Amino acid sequence: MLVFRRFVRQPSALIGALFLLLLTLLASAAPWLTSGSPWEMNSQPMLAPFHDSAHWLGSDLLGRDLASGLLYGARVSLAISVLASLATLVVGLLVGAVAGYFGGWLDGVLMRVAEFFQIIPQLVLAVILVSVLEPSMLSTILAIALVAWPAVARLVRSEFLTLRQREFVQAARVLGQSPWAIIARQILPNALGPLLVTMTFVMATAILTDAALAFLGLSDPEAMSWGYMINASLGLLRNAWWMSFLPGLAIVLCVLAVNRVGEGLRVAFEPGRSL
Amino acid sequence: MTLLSVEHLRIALPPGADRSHALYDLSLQLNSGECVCVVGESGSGKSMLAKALLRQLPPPLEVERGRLLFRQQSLAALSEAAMRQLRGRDISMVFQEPMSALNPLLRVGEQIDETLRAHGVKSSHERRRRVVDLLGYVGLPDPERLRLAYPFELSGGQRQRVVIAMALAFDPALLIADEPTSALDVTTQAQILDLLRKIQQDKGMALLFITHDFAVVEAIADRVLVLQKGHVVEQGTAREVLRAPREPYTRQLLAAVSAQPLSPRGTVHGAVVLKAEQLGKVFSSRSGWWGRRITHALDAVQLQLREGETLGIVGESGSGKSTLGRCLVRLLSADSGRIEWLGREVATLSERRLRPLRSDVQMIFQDPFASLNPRQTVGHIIMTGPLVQGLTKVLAEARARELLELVGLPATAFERYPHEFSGGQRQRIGIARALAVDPKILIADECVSALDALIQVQILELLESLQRRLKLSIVFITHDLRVAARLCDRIAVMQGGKVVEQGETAQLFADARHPYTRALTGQTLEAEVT
Repeated sequence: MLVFRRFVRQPSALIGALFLLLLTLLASAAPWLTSGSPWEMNSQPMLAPFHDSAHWLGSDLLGRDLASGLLYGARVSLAISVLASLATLVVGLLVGAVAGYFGGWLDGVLMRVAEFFQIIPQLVLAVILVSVLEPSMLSTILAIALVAWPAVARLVRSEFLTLRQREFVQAARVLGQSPWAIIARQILPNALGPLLVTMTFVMATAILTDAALAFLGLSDPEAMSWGYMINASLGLLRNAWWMSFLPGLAIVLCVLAVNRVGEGLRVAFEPGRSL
Repeated sequence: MTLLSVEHLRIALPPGADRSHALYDLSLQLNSGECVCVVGESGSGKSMLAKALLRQLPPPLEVERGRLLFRQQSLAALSEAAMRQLRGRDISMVFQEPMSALNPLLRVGEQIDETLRAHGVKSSHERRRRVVDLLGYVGLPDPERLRLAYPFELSGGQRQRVVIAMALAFDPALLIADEPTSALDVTTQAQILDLLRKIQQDKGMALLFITHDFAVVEAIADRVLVLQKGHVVEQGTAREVLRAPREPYTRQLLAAVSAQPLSPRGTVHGAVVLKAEQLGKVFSSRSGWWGRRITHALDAVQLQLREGETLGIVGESGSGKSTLGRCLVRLLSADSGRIEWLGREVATLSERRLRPLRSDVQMIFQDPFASLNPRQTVGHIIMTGPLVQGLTKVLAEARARELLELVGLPATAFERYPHEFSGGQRQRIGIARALAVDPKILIADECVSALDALIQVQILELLESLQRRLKLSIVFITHDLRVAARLCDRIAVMQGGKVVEQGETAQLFADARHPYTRALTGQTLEAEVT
């Protein structure tokens, strides 16, 4: 609970967390807050913000309401980034734990595989994967997880390597606890802090990667997303700047909030290194 | 002439500390050419004295009352610039851990050179000559070459010599040494003490020596000041205090460091429960591009332990004693040889086959802070073993509570976390965890070396009474022959991965065969206070 108190004491982290919470609430309530589908062309096209109270953030080229687009986009962005982070966590944790705890040739093989993924430019790999697999939410999540897991695996491995040498872990071995129980009960709780912090940064990257893929036209064609909105309005940057600016702002704020939460967690877990 | 005089020094601690003041009322006189030892357990406030003298008390601590006079001049009245000139020039300091006092990225010569430059020695030629002189003076071989070495290339003793050389750069009038030998091996410790003593007499320097160890006091002190929780308990010449202590606390401390057995031990005739034959372990590390450096951590070690017996394994760091302990409990696999637990060969057993047997042989670890999982309550920590054995949660909890009582901890400890306990209490938790699975054999690896002398005795007494009650057989690994002598029936002395001598404790002390054992016992007996 000390960690929680130290987290709450940081204004930027608290604001970030509240922002994300609010965004999640708004996104889940989107069907009730808006007039239905974000694809519906229900107003005059290219309406500037604050001109029409029914469409207060304006509309796009085809007369679709921007506010509802942003809310539905938040649904997609948040869902993809959370699911992709979870997938990354599962793979990274598993690989890192096995490599770090058991070591030996298994460690060597797994780390070479991780390096193989790390030397390929991440976005390029994601783009190739999504285009090969047909753009959909699942393929986006898969692509993000596939490029992000090596970083998590490496972190988990290094944590495990040091914790494995600690005397309380050795005591558990001497007591006859099985390797998986040692990993789950002795080592993992002590590695949770840095892992959680890294996960927030993975999530921020996931939001960006998702937006980038959608911007390149590689997203689920059924789902409204921020990246798609920017893509669709790119040609009108000089006539209707708000059409790309607003979703861009949403991405920036969202990533910033996640980053601040991560930074706040880091400080909360390691008060000694906060300066 | 009085060089340093401390008058009624009183240092307040921040609210919420375990007591109101770090030091209550400390007065002390130190003359040139004299060595005063300040003795106390950890937390007695002895290091605060050194920090106050250098005006480096960590904030928010400050001198509340009293005067510090150096050459009749009040240290409190000096400006920060004048104080900086004083530090390192007239008053120098040697710390406990030489590695943290040295910059790992600078050659040792450059570090001494820096000190000289900081205090205004301009000519680089003169500085270099001085560096070589100093390194030679503290007894380092080949100073011309050694000045180009990095700290990690030196041994612990050599590093401490470098730190001393640095402190001597300007022939200080007062040298403050804060536990300078505690991190060193017994034989190295004796050499460093000799060196400090020689320098002090040579230069007519005053030495303020802070230590927890009465063996050190015997070797070096002219006068002694005993501190307990910030209070001066006793002050007098070394002879008076060591031969005829007036205060019960001093007597207790002295008794704690004697090498007398805790209780008379009969001969043991039980069956052999643990046996090692021709045990070998080799570590190889890469050196250079193609080369491999091979270290024989264990070389044909032969041991056996009978039921109810305590076997001491004594050696300095790097002697292979910890490797031996880890091999015996199968945290490490030996490269060759046999290990028998209760008559069953286990050296080559796979981890999976070994697991059901593990409860017979348990280990107590050195570091009372690292050996307990900080995220588990004490109850959970002790329950780990019984749960692994397949006991139900209710039974395991009952067992854990039973053990808390057995090792002398309050029942309320069950729900609390390890960080709420002191070092000695944590070691009791570690013992309870090991005993929870009903082991026959305990392997204790330096299990008291991180504790204060009085706490050490308590833990040793606990181990002994548990041994008698539970018919335990113990392998007691330590660097301290004196501690081993208090508890062990037999002692095996290790050096360079080999057991060089093995015998009954009393016999080993009376009539050691091997020169290394003789060196060890000689020093320990010399330092022993009777």
